[in-house]
Amino acid sequence: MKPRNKIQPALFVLPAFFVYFLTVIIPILWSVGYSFFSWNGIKDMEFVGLANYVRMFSDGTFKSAVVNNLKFVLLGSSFQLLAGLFLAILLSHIIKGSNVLRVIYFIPCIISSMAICQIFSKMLSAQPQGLVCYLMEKMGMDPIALLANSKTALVTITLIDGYKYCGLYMIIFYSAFVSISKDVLEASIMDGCSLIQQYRYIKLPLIKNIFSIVVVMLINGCLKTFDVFYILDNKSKSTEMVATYMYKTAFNSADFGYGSTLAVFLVVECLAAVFVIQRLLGTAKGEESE
Amino acid sequence: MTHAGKSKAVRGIFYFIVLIIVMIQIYPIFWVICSSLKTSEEMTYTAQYALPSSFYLGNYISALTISAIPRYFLNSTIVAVLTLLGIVVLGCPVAFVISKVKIKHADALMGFFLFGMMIPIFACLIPMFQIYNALGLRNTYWALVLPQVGFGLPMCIYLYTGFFKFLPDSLLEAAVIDGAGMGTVFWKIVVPMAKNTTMTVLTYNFVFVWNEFTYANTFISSSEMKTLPIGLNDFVGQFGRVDWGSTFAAIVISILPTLIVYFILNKNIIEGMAAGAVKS
Amino acid sequence: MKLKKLAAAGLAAVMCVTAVGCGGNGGTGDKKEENTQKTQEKESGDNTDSEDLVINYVSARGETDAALKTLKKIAEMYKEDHPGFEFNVESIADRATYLQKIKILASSNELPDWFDADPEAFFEGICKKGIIYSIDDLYDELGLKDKFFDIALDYPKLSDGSNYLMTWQGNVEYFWYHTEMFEDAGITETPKTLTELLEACEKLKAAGYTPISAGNYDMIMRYPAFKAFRMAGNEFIDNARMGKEKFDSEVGIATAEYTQQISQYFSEGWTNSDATAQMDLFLNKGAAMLYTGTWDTPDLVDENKELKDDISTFKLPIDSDKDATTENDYYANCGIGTAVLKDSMTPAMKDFIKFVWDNFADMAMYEFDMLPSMMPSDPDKLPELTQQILKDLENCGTFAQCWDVRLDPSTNEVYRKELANLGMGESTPEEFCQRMDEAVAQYAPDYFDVE
Repeated sequence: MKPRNKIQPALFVLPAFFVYFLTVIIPILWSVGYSFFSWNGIKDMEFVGLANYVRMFSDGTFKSAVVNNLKFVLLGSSFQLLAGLFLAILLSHIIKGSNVLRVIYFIPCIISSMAICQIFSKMLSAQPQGLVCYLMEKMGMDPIALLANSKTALVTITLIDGYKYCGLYMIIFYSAFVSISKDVLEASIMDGCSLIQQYRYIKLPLIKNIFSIVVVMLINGCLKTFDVFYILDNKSKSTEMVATYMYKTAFNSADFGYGSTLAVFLVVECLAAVFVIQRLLGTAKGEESE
Repeated sequence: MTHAGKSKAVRGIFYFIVLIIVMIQIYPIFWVICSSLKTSEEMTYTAQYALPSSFYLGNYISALTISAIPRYFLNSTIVAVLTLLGIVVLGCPVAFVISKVKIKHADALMGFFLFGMMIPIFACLIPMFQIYNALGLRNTYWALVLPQVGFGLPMCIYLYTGFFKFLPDSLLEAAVIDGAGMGTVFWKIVVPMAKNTTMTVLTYNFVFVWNEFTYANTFISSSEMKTLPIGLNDFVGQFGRVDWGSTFAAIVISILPTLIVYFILNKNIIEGMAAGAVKS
Repeated sequence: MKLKKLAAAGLAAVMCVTAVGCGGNGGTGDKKEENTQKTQEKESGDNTDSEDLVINYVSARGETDAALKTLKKIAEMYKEDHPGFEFNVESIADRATYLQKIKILASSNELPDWFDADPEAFFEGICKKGIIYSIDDLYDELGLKDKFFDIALDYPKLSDGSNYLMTWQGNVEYFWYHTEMFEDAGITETPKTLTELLEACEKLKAAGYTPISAGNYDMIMRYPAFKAFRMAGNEFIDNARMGKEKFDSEVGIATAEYTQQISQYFSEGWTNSDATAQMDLFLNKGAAMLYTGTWDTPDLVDENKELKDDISTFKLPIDSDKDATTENDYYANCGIGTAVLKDSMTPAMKDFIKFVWDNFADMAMYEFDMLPSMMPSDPDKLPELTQQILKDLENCGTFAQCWDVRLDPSTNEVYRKELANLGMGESTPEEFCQRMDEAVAQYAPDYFDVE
């Protein structure tokens, strides 16, 4: 529709624009500014130009954090996507008690990360023996501390993170399934569609749009992932993510300049990732504003 | 939804899977409740997966006496309500203008807002602190609400535009022909139709707002203004020794009301979401 | 709908206005007001009247911490005679969270009147800016110096020997062990040397026991220092952190090798365990030894304040008779200290601090069961173990420096990570030393005057 005058749309947009500008844009620009300085918070700031960026590309910890993070994005987002979808499909076939089940499936999302992490670190602990190691021993395996072992830690934390957040995507998928018109489904059953065919040819294509939204949310979330990895850190390089490394650089090492540089990298990385996904899924952002 | 051709066996397996998943999803809360009922002796000397031997309420008493959980709960609620309101009230009109009103540079505006999704919050912490400190906003609800609204807007606008894309233009044009202005169209037609998306936005953001730790820790120092996630740290003792019993009791106290509210609202949330979830 | 619209518009308006900077509503204990109050107080001249003294204290101690409880109680007592006095504590017990907050406050020039710190490089930087009141001077002015244990004055010293921290506690670190397990493994004498310690571990392992319960990373970071402290004393770390001595040296390599050897005997999963799990494992006889300080004593003693079960202790073993330090030199510390801003050090503040120290030791010891940084009155009445610890505290020769406190914050991050890699056998002692040297070369000049 066409606005009657120019002021009206501006009134709709400006409040959000102001809040967003003041709370998001100004601070991040400010941070980008820091990335050209060497500053530990107490000494005078010293302009170093691109030195922090040069340092970043020769920093071994940074490189391994990027690799870990990409592994996590691949593993974590596919796990959460599939788990969310699977739960949503299960749920949409339940008639009785689905209300209760929806609440139950959502529980891990509401519990604070700290509690979830504590539960898993106790369950997976080898000494004192936790539930998982107890079961491993009973099954005749050598119990391993999954979270501490640098070979298994990344995958284990990925699963824990997925467990915490998959409920969120379950809800989104579920509501999409429920919204599919019953007529279409009944018609397909009349045509002799099997359950699998129903999903393959009707349900999943119908919620294609939701998929692209969820994928963008997931990749973004995974690239910026912080809390679970920060709490369950096994100190070695194997579980370092870009966001946790940035946090430690800025706040443990008080190296605010370099920390800001890592933050800028993260922003660029996210932009690039979203751009690529949008291209792959064939829904460029611009189309939405027709 | 009936599946007439299904045998009982398939149905059985189906429910078995559902049951297993329920157990997996419910286990953490079950575990937290069990642990909150254990004495500290029990915590130390029995396996962590053992059930509590008695109904010990000492942890709850100490949780409520050491820290002001009800106060934290109130603060968390106020912050969550203000933040969610702010996100929806500010975000929805923008999405409407971007996708339904013919204005110049709509693409650029969308891109501008989506940019916020890419920013890790820690990147902004120090500048934010300096800004809020200069404005005298530290130790106020606004110091928690504003950044969360700002960072919540991109996803909110993204979800709303996703929905508006499928709202037929003809519907709006018809109203305009009937003489309705932009405000009327928005409030009378668009907002009610977007109820489902609104619910999605609220649910999605609630999860993050409720567990928000960083801003609260950075901007709040007065104990009357603490939120729940910060409050849980009241039980960390010297050299990282944590009073887990009290911590778990506090977690239970803080989760239960949320679950109850969610349980009551849940039907509306899903119906809302389903009614408006992207129709194609 | 109209009402809703109105409400929404109103809310949006309020938010905008606030965002633009009208703010300051809704909060209690608003910092800004306190600040103005403080400045007013200062402007009105040297106000010796303590009625207006307000102390904002950001503490790294938890609400349940004995030292903090003691301080709060003393503050209450003080308030009885000084009605206008306020002691506002913000307690952030999680150390990482606390340090993050202090770094933000420091970088924004918003440090509170009192805050907690270790004598490490970042704090040293703050002190060099001249905004912290010298505790040396303060103790002299108040005539308190000779009351403290030596360590309470030595431990918080910065590298140039100055002191800006009040310390509250006295802690000694021991190896705590189960005598029965030692007997069972055929160990007749507690290890006297670091080599004997390894041998004891091997025997325990052969007998089917986990030799050492490890989980608290702050304690695990002590292990690399053991060997170096014995071979070269604190000089090694004090020089190595500035690059004056290399980690890639005889002492450094020997130290890293020893660390890698002993970490083979740690409990499984030590890299992401925690202090509570470490204690639980030891108390449950899941491991034979535990290295920790006396702040953990409450868990290790029974209701009579004597050691539980078959638990006994031994001190840090020596390395050889060529050592730079003797068995009377070991790890002891005074916990995290408290700094006072220079601008806040009014006569009223001094009066309060004097009052605190007049009451602290006895109240901490007898009411809250914490070893204070000065000898409490009537130590003879105390339980045997407590007396023993107090004696060790008093007699400690040279106390060993904690590496994580001495290194600059950036190198310390590298140290934490490389220690995990070394301990898990993912890097060699040589690699560990090289990476430490690289880190020191890169970061130390930002913090220390490296000639």
